[in-house]
Amino acid sequence: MQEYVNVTGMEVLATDEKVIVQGKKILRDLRLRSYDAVCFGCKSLGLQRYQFILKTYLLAAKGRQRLIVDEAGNLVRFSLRRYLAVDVPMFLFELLASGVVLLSSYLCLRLLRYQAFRNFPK
Amino acid sequence: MKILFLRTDYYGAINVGGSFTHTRGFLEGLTQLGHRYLVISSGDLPIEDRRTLHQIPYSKLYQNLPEVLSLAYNRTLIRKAWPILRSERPDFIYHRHSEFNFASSVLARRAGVPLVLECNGSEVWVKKNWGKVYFAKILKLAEEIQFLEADLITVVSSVMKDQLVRLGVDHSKILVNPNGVDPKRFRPDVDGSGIRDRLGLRGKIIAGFVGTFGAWHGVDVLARAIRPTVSRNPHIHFLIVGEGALRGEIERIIAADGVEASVTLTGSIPHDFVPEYLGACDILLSPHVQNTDGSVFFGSPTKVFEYLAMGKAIIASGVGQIGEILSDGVNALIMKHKDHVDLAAKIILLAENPALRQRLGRVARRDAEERFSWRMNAQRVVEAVHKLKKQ
Repeated sequence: MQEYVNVTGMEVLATDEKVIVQGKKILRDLRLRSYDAVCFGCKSLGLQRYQFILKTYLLAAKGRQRLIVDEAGNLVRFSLRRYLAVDVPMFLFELLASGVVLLSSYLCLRLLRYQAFRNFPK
Repeated sequence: MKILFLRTDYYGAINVGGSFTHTRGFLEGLTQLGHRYLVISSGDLPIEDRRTLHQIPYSKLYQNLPEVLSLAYNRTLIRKAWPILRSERPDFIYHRHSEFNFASSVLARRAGVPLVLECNGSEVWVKKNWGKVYFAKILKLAEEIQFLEADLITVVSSVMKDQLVRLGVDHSKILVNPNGVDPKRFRPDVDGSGIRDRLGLRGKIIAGFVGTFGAWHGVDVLARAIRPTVSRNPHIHFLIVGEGALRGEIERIIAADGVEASVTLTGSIPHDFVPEYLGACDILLSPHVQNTDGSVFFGSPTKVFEYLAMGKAIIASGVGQIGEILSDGVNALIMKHKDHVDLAAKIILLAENPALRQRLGRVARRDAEERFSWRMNAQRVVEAVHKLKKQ
């Protein structure tokens, strides 16, 4: 990490996806102290879920340097402009699309259940 | 026979652990039996024959809301797997059951082939007890469809079978199929001296554990056993291989007990290296605990089968299926559930008694060869499908 940010000391806080989606603990940790740099590390940026949430934490963090980095050295530097212009609209679109997925999946499952119970032949 | 193997859970960049060992072992078992397979998976899988692997990744759009991505994956999978299914024409679909996934029911129905569901736990139970569920009703519905539509459901233990029967699954379509091991890869003559040298553990009695530090693995019990063990026998060293949710808790216990010098935590390693690490050990540990809700442990830990095949002395708790596989004083020592003091006493007993270690290890190896290979695991499934097709 010290390759990417200019800091003298480092504090590592372990976390996982269950904690990421719950929020409170991470926000508390981030606000506990004022850091020069805040960095989320992950195994692979291409496969890491919840990046919008991570960026929202970075927005809330007060460090001058804010980034997400993976084990291969790929990184995303937090940019407020990109967050507002790209990430927030994309997230709103995801919310909308998720509503459609939930509804259509529910209807599909009801239909499948009906077929299964009526023993429609395969 | 030709089998379509489906793996639909989202595992991101992590593809080590018992579930991947299970997948790989089952596929190798099929190959040994002369069957062909193709694999459709949401990500990369550590399998030998790369040509058989079709990766159908999760959508990049649904990445920020829990559970929705798994639901959205059904549609992606059905659309992209159907042409593969049509051209490859498998004899049956074998699906590793995963949360919110019902695509295999649709695909099997459309293709007119039997669906075998490998159920390693009710996802409703798993999410409720080990995770967090947001759309409980949809999760339950998806699981209900899978259980209804599957022609055969394989489970790893009788405890798991009882759990499914209680959920209303027809008992006649459940096959109890314990996990297994590749006895050619996990052998008593695997040389672990390189690991001992690299870790500076030459001359030590090594008590080892391999796992993903899940809630059921009892790694906290293991960590608590270190101090009473090394305070009585400082020649014993603990080698803990793996990574997972409880890593922080383990490190906290080790630091609080001041036993850092008596433990090596390796972190996650590729499964190919596991035999060598186990080979470096004298005693192997499996202090599994009952489920967090107080119900009986329903798993079939692959590590226990690997331990058996290594021909080493094992100390394990007798929870669930482990108690059916291991017999106290015959092929292992059975420790009291969650009792770190008893675990420590048994580690010391084995450390000071090489003849007992050897005797237990010999019987363990024989059991692995005769009863618990992946080949047998795959054979039980294929035989059940043959029977199904005759009906």
